[in-house]
Amino acid sequence: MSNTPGTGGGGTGRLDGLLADAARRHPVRTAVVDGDTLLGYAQLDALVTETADALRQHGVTDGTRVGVRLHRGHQAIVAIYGALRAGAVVAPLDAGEPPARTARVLRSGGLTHLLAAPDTLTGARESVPDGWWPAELPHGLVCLSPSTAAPEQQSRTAPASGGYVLFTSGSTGWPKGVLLSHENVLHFARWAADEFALGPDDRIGAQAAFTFDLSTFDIFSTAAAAASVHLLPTAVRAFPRSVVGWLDSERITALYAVPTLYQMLMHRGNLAASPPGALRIAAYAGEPFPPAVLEEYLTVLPHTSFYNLYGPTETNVCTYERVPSGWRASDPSTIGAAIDGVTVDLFDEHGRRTDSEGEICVAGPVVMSGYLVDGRVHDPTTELRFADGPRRAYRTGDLARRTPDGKLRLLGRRDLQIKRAGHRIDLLDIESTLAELPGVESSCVVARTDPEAAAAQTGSVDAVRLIAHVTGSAGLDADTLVAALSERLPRFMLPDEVVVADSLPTTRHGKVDRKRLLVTAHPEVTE
Amino acid sequence: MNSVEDLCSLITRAVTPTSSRRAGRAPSVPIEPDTRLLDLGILDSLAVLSVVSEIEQTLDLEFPETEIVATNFRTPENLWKFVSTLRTQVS
Repeated sequence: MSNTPGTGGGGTGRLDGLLADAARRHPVRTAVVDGDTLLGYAQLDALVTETADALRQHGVTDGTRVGVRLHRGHQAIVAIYGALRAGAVVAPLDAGEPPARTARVLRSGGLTHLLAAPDTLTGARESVPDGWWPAELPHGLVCLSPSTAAPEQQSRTAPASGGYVLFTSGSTGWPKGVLLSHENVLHFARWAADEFALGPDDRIGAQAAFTFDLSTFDIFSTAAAAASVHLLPTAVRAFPRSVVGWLDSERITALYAVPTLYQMLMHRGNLAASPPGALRIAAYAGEPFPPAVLEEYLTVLPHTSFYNLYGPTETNVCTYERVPSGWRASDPSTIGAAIDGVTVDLFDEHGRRTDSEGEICVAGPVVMSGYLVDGRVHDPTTELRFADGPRRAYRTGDLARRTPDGKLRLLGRRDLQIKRAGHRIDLLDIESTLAELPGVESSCVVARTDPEAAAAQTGSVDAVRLIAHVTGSAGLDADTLVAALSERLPRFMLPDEVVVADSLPTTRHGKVDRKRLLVTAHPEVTE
Repeated sequence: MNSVEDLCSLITRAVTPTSSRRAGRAPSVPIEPDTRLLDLGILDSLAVLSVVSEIEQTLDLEFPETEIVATNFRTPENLWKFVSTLRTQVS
């Protein structure tokens, strides 16, 4: 099945094994390009081994949970691979999020070590409990951990071989850690490298945060193919024109990004005027691609293959579709069919397979081990009867319909999760955070899709506006609430608007009437 | 707006969250003429647009799309240099 260098042999079954294989086969090939810093495969592999040894000396052992709170860069890649090689369960964290949020992540995920660098150390130290101390590692890394070794803190339920954790927004106000095994991530990384026929000459453009599942392609599919990963400089990210120029000057051949980014590049970055000539693979995930923009891309880049990849973080990618050449905005778009080795089917609310509409359920090697909640592993999967018999399955919460040719067409969500610029946000997460603020009695956060208003207000292509309706004690003030939220939530979760009201509308059953709040014209806001 | 210090206050205003503007995060460091706005993550794509529109309103001029590039936004000083050139061209 595999004919791509680096994806077939080896068979170590470990993510850091991809790197070791690539270093053996292509020692002098470039692995990472980060601004002026270039790392070859043998060089990167040596740095990683050295880091792993140092981590072992600082108490990291099989199954230890290690957070990596570094800015996106080659140092973070060394830290991630190093911790994996030391046997750890590795959680990439956002160095820019408020320390209060990181503190919650540490507790929720039961992390016992936090890696930082001098430029992220202040925030890291504010995130860790009292009694954690920094130790210097090679390559400017700093490891924060409890001063006394506490082996009983290591959960026995963590996979002994280590793994990967990606934190997502959870309904309780606590970030939810999605615990993935090496095999979970490897299956996707190798599938993508095969499907896109990546090889050592490919140059992968990496723009996603390492906390985002898209980055597993950038980091691990790249190594599976012994290709080079090119990190989009942080300073360039805010400027669509500069990103378009970077894609061309770095001769990027494969890019995996959210449609919001593609749209920005086309409309604000003037991509049509200087299309990136080397780009042969353009993959997207996380939200629907606006059809008119996708059609524009197919016209501007007729030789590039466009891939729609679908799947929640819990299953990484489970279905895909290669956009047919000649596709038009008026044609239906689907999320395609299951990737190799993965079973995807639709089930009704009674857990029975259905041929019409139902919830997307996934079985196979991409399905996560479970969630990290209060430091423990909680497995939400259920056994469902697929065509080939009962399987351990993850219910995605996404509803879909099967098209006559067997592909899946997304219909919507069963719950209060929304996507904004590819980020998954549970509206209850924001409400739980509001509920903890002084003076707040109740709140209801609604997501309104309002492209024109969004564009007018922020100049953004973001079509989803989050509006928080809040009630509470007299003197509750929207600006104060916004400021308090910005101390507690990552930027992508912050409401666009906070409205203080005397009361929230309720349904006949006494529940907050979300639908009515959604359609109510928002009150005038004074500047 | 007559000095790079005025520009610093404008940037601070543009990135500070209020209920009527898209919520950002109050900068953790005071914005000085040599503050590395991009490296420190003070300006993201939305914040850049707020700064551009504030400058356009305050100075009553049009900030060319083609000049919304990283080199002009690295520090308030860089931006001030560019804005000063722009004003001379306009007047």
